[in-house]
Amino acid sequence: MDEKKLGLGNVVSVSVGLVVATSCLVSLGSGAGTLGVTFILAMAIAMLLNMTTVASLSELNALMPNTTGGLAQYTLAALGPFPTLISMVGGYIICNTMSCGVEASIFSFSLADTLELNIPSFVYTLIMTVVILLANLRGIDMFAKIQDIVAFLLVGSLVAMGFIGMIGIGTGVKVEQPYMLNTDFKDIAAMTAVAFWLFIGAEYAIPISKEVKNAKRNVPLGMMIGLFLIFIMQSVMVFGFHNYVEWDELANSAAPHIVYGYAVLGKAGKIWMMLVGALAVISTQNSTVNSLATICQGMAKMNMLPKIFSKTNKHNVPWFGQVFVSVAILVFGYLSDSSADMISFLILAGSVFWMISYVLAHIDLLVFRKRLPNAPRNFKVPGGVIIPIIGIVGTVYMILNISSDPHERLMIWLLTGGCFVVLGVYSAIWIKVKMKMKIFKSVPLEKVMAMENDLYYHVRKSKGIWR
Amino acid sequence: MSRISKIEVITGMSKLTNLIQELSKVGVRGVTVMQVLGCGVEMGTQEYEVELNEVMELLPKQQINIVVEANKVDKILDIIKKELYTGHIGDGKIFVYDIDNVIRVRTGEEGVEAL
Repeated sequence: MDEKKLGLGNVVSVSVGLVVATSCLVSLGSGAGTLGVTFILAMAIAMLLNMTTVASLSELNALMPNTTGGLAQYTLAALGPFPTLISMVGGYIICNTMSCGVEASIFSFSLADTLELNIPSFVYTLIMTVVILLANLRGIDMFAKIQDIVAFLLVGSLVAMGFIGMIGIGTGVKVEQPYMLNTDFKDIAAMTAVAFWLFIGAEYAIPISKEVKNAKRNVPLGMMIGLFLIFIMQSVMVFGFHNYVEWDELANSAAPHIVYGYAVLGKAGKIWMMLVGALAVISTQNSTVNSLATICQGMAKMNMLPKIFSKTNKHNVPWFGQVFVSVAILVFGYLSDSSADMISFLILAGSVFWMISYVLAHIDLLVFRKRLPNAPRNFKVPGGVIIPIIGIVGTVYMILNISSDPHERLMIWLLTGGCFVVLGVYSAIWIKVKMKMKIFKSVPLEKVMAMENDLYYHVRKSKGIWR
Repeated sequence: MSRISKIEVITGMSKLTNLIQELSKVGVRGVTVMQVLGCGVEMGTQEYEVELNEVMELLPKQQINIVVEANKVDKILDIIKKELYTGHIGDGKIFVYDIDNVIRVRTGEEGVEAL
């Protein structure tokens, strides 16, 4: 009999650990700096919308359990290869490399600001990226054992700093400023797109489902509780910000956690936040290089990306994918180097990619409700189709209001739209020519499940169907 | 309509232990398991194959028989379906029969009392 070791608490801690990152603090600083404590309302709306996505993904996981590709496979079975390729390459690969580049930029800015050596901040990004790449190319997962510890350190530090700031017992000088800068609901609703970044990624807890006791209850519940705890933690931070940091300074900082740490606890706070943030960024980048290269390898095996992504080196790692992802991280890191505006811009652009993936998740659910209404589901989203429809409408609203600055909004749409057009052309040609499939014809669910078996590809290659 | 039903489950080899555990939790008091050979509409074709077998190929399966009160059938079927479901070909089939009578040999009890 299988021994399932993980419980509800484990799911909660994995969800929280996977979601919270230093780039969240830029969004938090930007949002709080613009609205004041009213930003908490925007956060609540974003949290609820993310909960609808978590619910939809949980039901999709119940229909297609233990799949390694997750959303890619759900979309392949529901909508066909064209939306799958676009959402995976755009929604996951581009978005994750973008966010990792931003995190690297925040890391290098924090390091340069704290160490005060006369070294351009991008050098730190370069050194970190090269070291992580070389370790991964040799198959060394530097952070496998301490990843959980790093996540807890970051979350624990934010909780501690948040409470110290909120109840006003820091050693720094308090500031006098209004709690709320803006109470117009239209502006608050528009800021939900900024708040969205604080909650994305909870669905990464789904792959641990097979290790979880009473998974059908504990996995969706654990993710929802995780999102709620993140909401509470970030809200406490906002009140801490109010007491110690001018709203303007917060909104314009490339590393608001460093500014806040210094304001609350002086040099010690600054170093504390820098160290914890640095560890978190290194850990995030390590797992991003690792996991995205593996996703690309999986997609190459499914004949969705060029074969070179599936090739491994003598250490049995997908070397091309790792190099590709590392170079992309460096590019985004360079573009956003020490620029709070560019960091915010890339976070918002990355959010749009991710939001589109989430919309697809809801659509996948609705398709399966129609196509397989009686298939057994260990978890089913309550309330019929209301929750996925709310998720779609809310997420589309956030995309349309991604920025309150019309020029920035247009640039984000142009960037994401341009990427999707390029991806669309690549996908259409690739699917027709290499995969020899109809671009919008969904693949039967049992066939997508069969793709989990390595023999699926071996048989097709040996028969010359896939080259 | 009969007050007793027989549920016959044909499924893959790996599902038995967890299924028995779940059935025990809902008060199922007896089960018969047989190793059988068989195939369904896929003619015994493995899920990774490109084409369907032209001739049926029999694969090793387990047949699990349970006899229960008719009013418990829906609940037990729900449990069985959710326990066996993986989305892969080969999850199995369930047959439900009416049973005319059940007799416990040792005591001579009949019907639901003999379950």
